[in-house]
Amino acid sequence: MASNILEIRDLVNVASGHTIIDHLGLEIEEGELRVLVGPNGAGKTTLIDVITGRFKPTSGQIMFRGRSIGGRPRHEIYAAGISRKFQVPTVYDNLTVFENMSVGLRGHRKVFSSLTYRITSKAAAQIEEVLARINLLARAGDEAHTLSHGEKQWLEIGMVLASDPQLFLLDEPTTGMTRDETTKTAELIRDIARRRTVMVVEHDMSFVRRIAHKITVMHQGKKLTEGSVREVENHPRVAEVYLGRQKISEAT
Amino acid sequence: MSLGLPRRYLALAVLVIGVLFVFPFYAGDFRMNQLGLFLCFVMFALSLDLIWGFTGILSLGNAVYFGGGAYFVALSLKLKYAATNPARYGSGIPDFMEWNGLTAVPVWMRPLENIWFAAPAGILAMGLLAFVFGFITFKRHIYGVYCAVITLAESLIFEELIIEKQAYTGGFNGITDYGSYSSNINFYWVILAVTVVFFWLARRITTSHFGMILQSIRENELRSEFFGFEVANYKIFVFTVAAMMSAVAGGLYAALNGIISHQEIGPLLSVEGVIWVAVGGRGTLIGAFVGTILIKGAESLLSEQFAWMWGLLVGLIFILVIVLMPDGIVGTLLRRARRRRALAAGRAPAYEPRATGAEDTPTA
Repeated sequence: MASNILEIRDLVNVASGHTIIDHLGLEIEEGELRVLVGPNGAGKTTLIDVITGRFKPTSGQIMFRGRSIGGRPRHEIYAAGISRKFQVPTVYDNLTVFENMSVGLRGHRKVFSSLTYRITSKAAAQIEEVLARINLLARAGDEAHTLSHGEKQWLEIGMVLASDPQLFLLDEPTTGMTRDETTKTAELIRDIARRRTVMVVEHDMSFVRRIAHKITVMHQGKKLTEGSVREVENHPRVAEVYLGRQKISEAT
Repeated sequence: MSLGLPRRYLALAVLVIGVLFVFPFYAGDFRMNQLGLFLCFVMFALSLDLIWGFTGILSLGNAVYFGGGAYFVALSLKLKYAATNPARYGSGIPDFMEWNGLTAVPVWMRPLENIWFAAPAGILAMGLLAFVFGFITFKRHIYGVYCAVITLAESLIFEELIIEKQAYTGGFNGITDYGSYSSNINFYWVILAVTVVFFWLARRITTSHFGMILQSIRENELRSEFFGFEVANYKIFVFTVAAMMSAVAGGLYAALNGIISHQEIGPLLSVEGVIWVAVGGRGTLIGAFVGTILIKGAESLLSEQFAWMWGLLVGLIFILVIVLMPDGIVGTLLRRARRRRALAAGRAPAYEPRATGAEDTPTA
């Protein structure tokens, strides 16, 4: 049996008097592709924020490969091997696509090592390889603000890939994408998950069905249920919390 | 030496440096002195461009470091001048000290009599000050408009300090009559050489991987933090380097100008620097040069022509440039050149929104 890459125990996050995450437990196995769903305000994005060090946990434990990372500084959590993609495409608009990728590139995080670092041909080849995977190789020299919304989403995924995380957290990567782009993104994420552990927050159930084998449903900061797509869709409480009485399968 | 420039700009750079080098032969002492002072301001603007144009930290306190460097040098020259000109300073101490009841130079100030100690000490002191100030500000995640306000306060505090401690600083009247290096062509060339070296250094910094990270911080600080960069350390480093560059510029300015006052340390110069960089084009090193020379040059020429309305005219130039070319002169020209090259390469020029520069809050 595979070991857990991430173990969250009894996690609580309180922000200005509101309990956003309420005694949450979550375990993700090495190499897994996990999807996290839940209605707005369920605490999905906050969970990613707490795991990556944007917010400190109020109480509870976050273990990454047996090491406690809860409340550690962001750069330490990154160094441990966790990277994230934001919901809104977050790229460097006035830098070129290639330059964006080179910022993501793993290594040379300290001031003095980045002062002397020059991108090697090996690193450039590595960047080009990722750019080819995200269909942006032809745009390498263009500034990022010239990309379409979907392309920016891919660029950010590419930047995170360049940072070579062990655990890749994606917050609603298909937001604002066309159906065609969504399909490509699903393929891309499945491909990424072959070599690393991935956790995706997603609303789009057709997308979820396409990529997921295990789904965790969050509601009001708690874990509501967990299981396969079919199990989750047939869970009575899920339909209830998700968009009122509407069945989750229609909520796309 | 290629100055790290693309080939198409190298010839232009060499030409400009050449013109500046021979300028005194044709223009006379007055204009040479003026241009020397402008070059000091150019270095000041360049340092601001590193922290604002490239890193997105809007500092309204950059003059603290310029003025700090200037006061170290002016005070040093004054101490020496007073001690060695008994005909004018019978007591051997600076006039402002005498007026404030001092009978001797305080012991702790004596080492400053040696300019070869005072000038480097000033630069190091400003570097240390910037490091401490930057550490407090950036480690506490103060950014955007809050950073502008806190640096403005820094500027006000130091201006007030200079005015208040008049026994040691000359107070409101500043420090004058200390013998200067004006009308000295060799000193003008020293200033020019330092300016060129600073541009080369700034070019090295901004085109390195480090410079790329600085720009990523300007574009989206939060994204860079989650890529494992300790953003505060980057900011502290560039803030400190810029402060030391400012201090060098200030020291040269004081030595050339022969008079300095609280204006060189206060918010006025700090804000003027922001204007020069904005007009030239922030995030383009050469913009610091173009903006400063243009505005200072216009100020000087217009004030000779129009006794009272020159200030209005300079303001008008500033407003026109910002409205018509929000990326500044050089920024706009570079953008157009890029567009032309894209067209020539057969690619449709992409829609180009105006540069965003310093954001008040990190997005996402």
